[in-house]
Amino acid sequence: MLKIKGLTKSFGGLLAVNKVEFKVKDKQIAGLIGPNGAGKTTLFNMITGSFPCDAGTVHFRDEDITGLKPEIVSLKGLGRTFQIVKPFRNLSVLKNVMVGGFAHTNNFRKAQKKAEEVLELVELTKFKDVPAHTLPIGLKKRLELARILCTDPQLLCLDEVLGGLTNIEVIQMIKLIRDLNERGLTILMVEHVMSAVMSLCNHVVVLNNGQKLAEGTPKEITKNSKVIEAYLGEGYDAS
Amino acid sequence: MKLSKKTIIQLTILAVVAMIPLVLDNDYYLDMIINIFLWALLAGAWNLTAGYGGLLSLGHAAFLGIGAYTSTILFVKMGVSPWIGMLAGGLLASAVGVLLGYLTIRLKGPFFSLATLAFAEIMTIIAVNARGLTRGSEGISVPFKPSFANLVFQGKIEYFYIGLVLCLIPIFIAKYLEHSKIGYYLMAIREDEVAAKSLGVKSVRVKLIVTAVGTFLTAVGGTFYAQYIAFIDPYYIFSVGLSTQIALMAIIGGMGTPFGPVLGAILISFASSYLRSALGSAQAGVHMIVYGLLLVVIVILIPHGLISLTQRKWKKQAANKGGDKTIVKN
Repeated sequence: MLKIKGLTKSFGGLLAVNKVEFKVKDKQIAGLIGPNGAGKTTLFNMITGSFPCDAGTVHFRDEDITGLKPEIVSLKGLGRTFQIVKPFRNLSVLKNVMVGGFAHTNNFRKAQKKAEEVLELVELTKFKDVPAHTLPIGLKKRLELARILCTDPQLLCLDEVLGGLTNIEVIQMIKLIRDLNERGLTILMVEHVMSAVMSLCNHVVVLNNGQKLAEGTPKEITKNSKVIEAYLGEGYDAS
Repeated sequence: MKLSKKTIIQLTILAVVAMIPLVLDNDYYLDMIINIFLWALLAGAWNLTAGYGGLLSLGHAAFLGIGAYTSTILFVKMGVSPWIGMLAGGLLASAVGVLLGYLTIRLKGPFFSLATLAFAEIMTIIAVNARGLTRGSEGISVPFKPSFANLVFQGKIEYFYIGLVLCLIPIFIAKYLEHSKIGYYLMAIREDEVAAKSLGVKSVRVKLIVTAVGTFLTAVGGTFYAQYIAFIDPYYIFSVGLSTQIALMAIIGGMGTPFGPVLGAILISFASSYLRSALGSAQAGVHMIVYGLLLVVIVILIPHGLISLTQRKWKKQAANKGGDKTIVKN
């Protein structure tokens, strides 16, 4: 589904992402973890076209999408959410989602119908007429997800969708992500909530200082001494 | 087709307005209303890009001037009907608008506004110095040869109806924007361009299309102005004052709404001429001070424009229906 190779990006003298490579297979839930400043979000921005890459390639469904603009990448079926949510503040929740719904149709009613279905799926239907900025953060994160789901992505890059959520909201979101995956969506998620990564992901990539530190199943990762030293900490217990 | 209550009210208002010249035989008031139509057209055209797309241009007078000069020069020098000149001016303004937009549309917030402001200044300088074409600072008079083809009329009634039709165009386009893909995309760009792009919105293209439409209409207003006033002066038609007046009307009335600019045009036109007649004979300039204060007060008290006064009730109902205790302000 997604194959990145030798991706490199520096900001001035700082090498933010250095020759990173990994693959995300069809129907997988892949996790991208690492300490703050490891380059996770930068990597996301490079994959989805927000930042140009200094070197390396991004292949999505066997097509080279390196250097394409974000809107083109999105239309090809590679969707993303933002770590800091970006709702269309003064538009209603329904209108927010409809913007996504127009990705593959020019028809107003079709976009509206699609948006209503997605709102039902993420359980935001009862908020559909309120302006997006009045939603609390947990619902804003769900709105962000609904909006991109409405574009019918094949691969979804989630940038800390669990961040800032209450425990109950985390559980709901995990269930939603699993549902989406079961419906055939491939997912790549940046996440700090390790319990979620452990229960959801079947493949985990660890970044540290812009480089890939380790890669493997959640079990392998938690036993990797380098990962424990750099990120998880001594005595980390995966359960 | 079943008409909603709102549509019936709107059509009734339109019918009443359309009958004004039949009962009102007073050139002063007709002139005032024709001016309101013109302002409503200009503010409405500005509102398409600024209100719906967040592109706060402070140089729209440039496109007004392009329209006025194009049709007038074609008419005076070559005898081309101003109707055709109107189209030519509109197309030229669209082309210039898209080119300027292509260069400046990536600029954010105030930088975009400043670029448009500078552009209008450049147009003034060109119009003043290209004497062979524009007669420079003398301006150009439109010869008084009344006929439909010449878009010059003896009385005011023809201008009234042409103005009425023209000022409806931006309203229809705004209504279209509120129920179409391009309108949703435009509003999404206004709210957050990065997020819009992540959803597949080709933002530059969307903005340029709407810019082409808005500048076309502004230029059409320019031709109408030139034909009605029968004189164009580069220092007025490209002026910052005119650009801000256009913007102000849409802001006061309510940006990003179909009828806001019309309300703004009505209020500002009435307020400024009332104040001029009521206070004009007092200390010189007092009416301008009061006018300025009035605008400041309106912007502070009704930040979303006059139109929001009519929508507030509806919004409250919607919030009560859709919301529960989980809704918090932030």
